[in-house]
Amino acid sequence: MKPAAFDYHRPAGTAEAVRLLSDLGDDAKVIAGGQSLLPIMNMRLAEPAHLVDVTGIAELRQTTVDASGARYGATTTHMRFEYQLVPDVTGGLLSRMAAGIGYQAIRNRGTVGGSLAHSDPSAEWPTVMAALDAAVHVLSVRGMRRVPVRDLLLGFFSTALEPDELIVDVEVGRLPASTRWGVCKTARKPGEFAESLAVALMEHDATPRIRQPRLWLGAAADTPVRLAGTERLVEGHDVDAVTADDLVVPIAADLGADPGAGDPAARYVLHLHAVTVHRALRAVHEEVSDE
Amino acid sequence: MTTGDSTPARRYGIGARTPRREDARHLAGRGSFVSDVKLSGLREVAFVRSVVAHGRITAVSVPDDAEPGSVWTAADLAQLAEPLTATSTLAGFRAAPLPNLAADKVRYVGEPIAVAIAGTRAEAEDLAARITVDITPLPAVVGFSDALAHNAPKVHNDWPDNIFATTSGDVGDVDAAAREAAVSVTREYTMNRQAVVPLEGRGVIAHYDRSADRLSVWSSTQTPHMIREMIAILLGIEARRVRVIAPDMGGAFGSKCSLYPEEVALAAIAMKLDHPIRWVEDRWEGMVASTQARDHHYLVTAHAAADGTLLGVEADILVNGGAYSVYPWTATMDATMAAAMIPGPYRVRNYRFRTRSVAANKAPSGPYRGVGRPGACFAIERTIDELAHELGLEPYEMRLKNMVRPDEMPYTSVAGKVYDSGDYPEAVRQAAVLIGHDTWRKRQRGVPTDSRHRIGIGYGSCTEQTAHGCVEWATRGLAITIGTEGARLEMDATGGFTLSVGIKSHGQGSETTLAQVVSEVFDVEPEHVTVIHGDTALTPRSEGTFASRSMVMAGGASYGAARQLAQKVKRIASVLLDEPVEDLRLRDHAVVGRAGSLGYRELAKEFLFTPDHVPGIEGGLEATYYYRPAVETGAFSYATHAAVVDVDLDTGGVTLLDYAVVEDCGTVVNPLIVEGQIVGGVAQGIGSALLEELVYGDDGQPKSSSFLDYLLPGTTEIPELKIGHLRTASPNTVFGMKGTGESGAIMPPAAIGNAVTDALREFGAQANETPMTPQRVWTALRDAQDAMAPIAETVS
Repeated sequence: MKPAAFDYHRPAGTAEAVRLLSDLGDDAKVIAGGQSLLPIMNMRLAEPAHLVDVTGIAELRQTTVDASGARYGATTTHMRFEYQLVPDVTGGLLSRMAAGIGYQAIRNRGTVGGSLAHSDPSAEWPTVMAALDAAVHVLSVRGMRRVPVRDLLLGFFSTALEPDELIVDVEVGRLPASTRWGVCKTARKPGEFAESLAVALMEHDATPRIRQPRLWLGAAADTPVRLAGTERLVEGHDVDAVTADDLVVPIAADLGADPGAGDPAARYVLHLHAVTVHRALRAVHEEVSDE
Repeated sequence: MTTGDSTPARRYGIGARTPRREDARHLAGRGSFVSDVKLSGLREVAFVRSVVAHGRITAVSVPDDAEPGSVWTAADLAQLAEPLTATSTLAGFRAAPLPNLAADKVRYVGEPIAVAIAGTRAEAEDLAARITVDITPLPAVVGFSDALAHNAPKVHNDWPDNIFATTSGDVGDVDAAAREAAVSVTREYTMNRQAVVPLEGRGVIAHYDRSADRLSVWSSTQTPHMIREMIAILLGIEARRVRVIAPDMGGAFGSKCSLYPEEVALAAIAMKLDHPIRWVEDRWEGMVASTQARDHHYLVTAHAAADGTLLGVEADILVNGGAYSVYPWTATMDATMAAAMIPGPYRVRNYRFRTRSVAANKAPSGPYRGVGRPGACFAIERTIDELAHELGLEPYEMRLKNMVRPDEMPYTSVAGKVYDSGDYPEAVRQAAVLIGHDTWRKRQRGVPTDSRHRIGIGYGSCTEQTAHGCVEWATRGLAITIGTEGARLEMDATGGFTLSVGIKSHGQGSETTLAQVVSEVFDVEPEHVTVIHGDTALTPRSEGTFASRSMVMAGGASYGAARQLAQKVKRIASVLLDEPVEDLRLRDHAVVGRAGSLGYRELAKEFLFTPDHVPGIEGGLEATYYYRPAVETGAFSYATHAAVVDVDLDTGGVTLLDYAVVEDCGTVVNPLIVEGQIVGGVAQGIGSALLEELVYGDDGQPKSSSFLDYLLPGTTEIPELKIGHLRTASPNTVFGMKGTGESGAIMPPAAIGNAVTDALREFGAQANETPMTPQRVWTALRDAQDAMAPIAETVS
């Protein structure tokens, strides 16, 4: 469980980084916190000939904020979101999600850009960034382009990034004061990857009514899934009138799964997604009524 | 967090709450493990391992450009070392020689096939990746039904089936008990396969010193002397030429007390090389190629009278032992222990059992903290609760009613085990108090029916045979019957002590507790006693550290050596002080008489530098003592654990709300260390109960071979434990000590399983399989509700 030999590069700026990526081609891999890549390399599931370490690039650690939202540098660590060492333009949603990632040691090193580039659908950032309709800015020797996260994530460990492209920052729009969020992560124990991960956003109207819900589910498919059919079903209902069991059939439909599956594992997984989404919905409601 | 500490007689002796001496070096990062050993010219080893669970090897191809001596296959090794064959005296036992490197067939994923040697581990892995192995896959035998099927593929071609051995027994009259019973229950229980997962994996260094004609093997092993002797035998050389050193170790829990192919292979290869070689197990290897554990299935029927009296028990026990029998334990170790422990601490007199130890295409099973008992305890204790439920009794009352009473000790169980001492019911009573039974019952009843949570209370009780001698191992069929331990104690010319023992402390603090034994006799601080362990060249022959035996056995030997040396020290002092021996006492670093006193430092200097000052006393200031207990049936620890759980009805998630342990390990040598053992054991037991499972696919592929899938308990899963001690001295051991290393790990699956079932009683769901994952708990709940629903409709 030792990695195969590789050459290590530590560029000081993004221009140098993308030049390296361009020159090295498919044989190079960008490394930031290394919390996913290094175990994969140690198990020799990946054997890149070159590692381009972008943690020495100061501009990738910068955050800019304006009235419309924030652009978080790609190597902003989970820990900085967790403790709000960067401004949270989502009313605490980013901080809350970051706190659920792995263990403290992982959060100290792992980065938001790295997580999105890795595209593990069980991880926190892909689901929450998809729910927030965030976008990444991506640099290569050909220039900069903006890619919505919903388009970036193509599948399990698969993204729309070209091999020579580097995520430089993540653009997150400011959540309006009228928008409330609720999240629920179901995992076997704290620090583990999610078995189910739900993000619920909705408009606040001082009643228990579910209004304009936007529901996103992670750890359920190759990429985060928008539960459009489930949104329609719960729209306008009182949150207390919706049970987890009510959500099984619509979520199954959104996932393209069979709600009557006889396999106990499949049955449980679907139920767990329903419970998780239900709890995320209730979390929105509870946040609101706490005020 | 504890109750019942007693006051030690000596400041640093038996019973002293002495902090672990080992901790200073480990906390400062000054320990020296196999990975830390520095040797000139050392090269690193990577193993090529099977990625197929069952298959025929058709070719092993070595790269043409590999340096001479850098690649070794079964063909190379065949001339150098015999395969390891664990034998048993059990009737019908089938041996399964364990190849050092697989030759014709592979029988589990992870089985070693070839050795690659290079300057670094990474380069060795590069070389290993270039060795190609062609394997024609065969159908894999994975679970019990695969293994026992009429036309099952055979793990070992020359066997008629896949059974290592079958044992059975029928004591009393179970059929009469069944006829007499007011209630009988039959249940099936499964305890799934686990990895052992010490913090430090295995590791081996082998070096043949040509000038000294000595093979030195460093190994992270619990049994250095046994490894030494077996390496010599398998290599066909005299053991005098082999030295085994176990340096600092980061745990073992039983996974390092069998002889492994890697140890034999490295030793054999090193004899042919002019440089040392090292292999350090990585975590994947630890999860697939270290011995694994549990994998039990029970069919239990129990019969009880209306008043709760347990009348009889029947048990059909299956243990999946994996592909091979490990030396010396064999694949029958768990089954024979489980059969003996099913009757538990109860006065049942009618017992019928059968065990079958089954071979499958999984890594060989070996000892793991508790050996057989966690499964047996889960099976019988869950059954006790089922009987209590049927009879409308509080489960702890059922236990109180049936447990062996103190006035019946020593008590020979229906399985022939001699329970030596203790008050078993008192542990139950105290556990109920410690956990706050009535308070929790009230809170449980107060949970509204529309809540999506339930509370449950559960108990698990067990006896644990520890430090058993030759007679016990013989009854279980072992080819080597273990039962003695040696210790050598020297006083040096400066009055310091060196205690040498052949056992290996691999995390349990024996450097502290054995020093306390010397302190008990000589009244010195443990800092003045060096404890040497784990080096065959420096220590008396030993059997090793396992079976919760080291404190009793090595402690007994150390006490024997200390008493002999003390006698000599007094005789020397008698001459020097001119006082009769009987008037002399050992106090605070000195021999104290009626008139004078003499410090150990002065005494040793006088005797060793100027023996002519001490006429009439023979030379030597040391004593060697071999301890073999007069009664070899063991000292039985026992305990009752009580657990309170919250069950999330929506997710099936189980959270521990409270946990209490009341245990009796006899005379406590060091309360800090005993509590540490209990906490660590309970943590591992919680892992068994709720988290840990080695999942295998139908093709025999391990599916949870990293910590991504194999979940271990951490601080968030282990509640603060409430611990109470009873202290019934064993009549069979020095000081009345009983072993306690394994105890904590045995009862958590039983207590937690009973608590989860208690929480779900209103729904009719039961927790009969470990780990009790959210999916299993939820599925049991849903299945029970589905089963009840049509009945409800019929009634209405």
